Amino acid sequence: MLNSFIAFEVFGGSWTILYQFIKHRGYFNEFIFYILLYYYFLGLLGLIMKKDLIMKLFFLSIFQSGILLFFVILGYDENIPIIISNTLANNADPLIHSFLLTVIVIGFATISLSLVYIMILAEKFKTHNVDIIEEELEK
Amino acid sequence: MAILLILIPVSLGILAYILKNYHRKIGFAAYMIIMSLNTYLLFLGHEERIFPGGWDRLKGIEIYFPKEMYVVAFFFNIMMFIIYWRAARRHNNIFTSLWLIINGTLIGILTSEDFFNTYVHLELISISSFLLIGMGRKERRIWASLKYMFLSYIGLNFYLLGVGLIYAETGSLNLHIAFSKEPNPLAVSFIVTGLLVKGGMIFLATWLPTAYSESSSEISAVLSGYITPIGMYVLYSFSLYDGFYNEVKKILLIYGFTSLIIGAIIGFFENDLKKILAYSSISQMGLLMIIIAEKKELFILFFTLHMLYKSLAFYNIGRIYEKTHYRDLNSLKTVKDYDINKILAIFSVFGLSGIFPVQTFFIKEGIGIHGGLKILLYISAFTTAFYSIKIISALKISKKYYYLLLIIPAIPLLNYMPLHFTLLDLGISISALTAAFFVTKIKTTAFSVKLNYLENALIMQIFSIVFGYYIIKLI
Repeated sequence: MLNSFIAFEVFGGSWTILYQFIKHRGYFNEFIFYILLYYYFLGLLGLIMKKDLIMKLFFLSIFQSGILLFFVILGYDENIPIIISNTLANNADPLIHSFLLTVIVIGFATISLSLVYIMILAEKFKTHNVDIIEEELEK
Repeated sequence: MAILLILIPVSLGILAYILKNYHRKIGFAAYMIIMSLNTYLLFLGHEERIFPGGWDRLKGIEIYFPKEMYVVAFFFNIMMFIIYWRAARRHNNIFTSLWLIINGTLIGILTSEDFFNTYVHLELISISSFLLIGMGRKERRIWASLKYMFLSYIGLNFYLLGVGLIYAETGSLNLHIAFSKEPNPLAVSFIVTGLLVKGGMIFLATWLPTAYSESSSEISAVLSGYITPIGMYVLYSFSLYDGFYNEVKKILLIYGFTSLIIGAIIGFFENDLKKILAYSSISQMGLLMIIIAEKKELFILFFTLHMLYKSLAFYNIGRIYEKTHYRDLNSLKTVKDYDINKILAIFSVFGLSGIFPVQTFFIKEGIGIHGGLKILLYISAFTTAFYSIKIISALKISKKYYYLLLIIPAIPLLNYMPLHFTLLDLGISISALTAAFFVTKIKTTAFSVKLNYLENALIMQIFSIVFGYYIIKLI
């Protein structure tokens, strides 16, 4: 069913490019790709549906985990350490790994800062609900 | 040597945080050093290209200092210094520290030639601006900052997805390699949406009106003048590569005109002065998008003019609000004092209004749009004039000779700006001005559509990705 879902071209076949890319590598199970899609949609759906700010942060993290997993797939190469050397023909690209690490660190910083801000708001309004906070502030 | 422009403010910013008793002295020293260095580079400097670590383009990162970057950084440093000089005495060491760090990173982003560097700079700018907006710990500011944080975080994650898709195809993060052929349409759509959330496109950047109107005068000045347009600058720097430009041109034209006209109309209906200016910013970002799509040569000129005028307007109107606690147009008409603040605000709003002798009028004409799109540009001349005159008429000045300052935005920037226009353009501009005087007397009520809710903005982002994708694919 998921195959037909992708073929439906919700995003016009670009996802299938990624799918083929992962399949082409061989050593990665197609399963990873489904997890990836699941993470994106779950994260975005949660962000839109949930009204609680803390829950929103959870889903934000899930969404970002999907992206991190995506970068892991891009950077992964079987049995090869991250070494740039002329003697090794195949090697993993170190740049994408450092990019991934930067994304993790920045994500951590942003989420911690959001938590602090949510804490300050919760102290004042005694709630985490987005709608109530907006209404209180509009008064 | 040019890299010191980035490293000095960032390192002195950290020092200002540690040595909190001397933070202002460190701040001024930092500005003295970077401004003299920047002046030297502007007149005697050369273009520099650096590959940190000595890697090649495929494996490493690339930093490029073009000549135009020195010009932008020069005016930017002057603007930041003036605001810091006026504002530093009201703040503590944390402000100085964040201010210097954001100064360094805002110059740094002008130099990046790969996705990695751009992302890191964008996030550094974002985190510093979240902290700066939330300063003072007032609930409204915290909420404005939190909304900005959520939307910007999602936007930059979309950017990452786009970058990942391009990397999967080309195997490099460098712009020269990634855009050597036309990239994946979905990736482009992801990147454009992510950057437009940062860059103040209407419906996507719903964080913007609250963040601008709630933050303090100095922070809203730098937010409107530089931090929001930097999203557009990144789009511009990507558009210099033909592979990206060919795909993104149509999207930018459609989004640009939408933002230019609807932003101005919503701004006109607002009665809160800071909110009108915030929507005017959204409108000007639309013009920046059109300039990227149609005439990239004018981008740096308009970017610099917008930076100076908009930050001046926001700073002065913010100061009037902080002194009188009036933001409403009707209440502001009763305020008699603060002539200097008012005239500076008037002159800068007039500078961006696009009415006949002003520089932005010639920039609009210089884009060189013809046919059906020109009609949209004429409509925008009216909408822009309406809200500009609305602001100007609300600020009453006691000494009439101050109005002589209005000549400054009309001084022609010879050799940098095309000065050709037709009689029709002139007629439209003058009729827009005349109509604006009548229209401003109409009492308006602000739109009560709940565009500011996080969920709606997220749905709009997803919609924008799908829409952008189909524009590239079908048109």
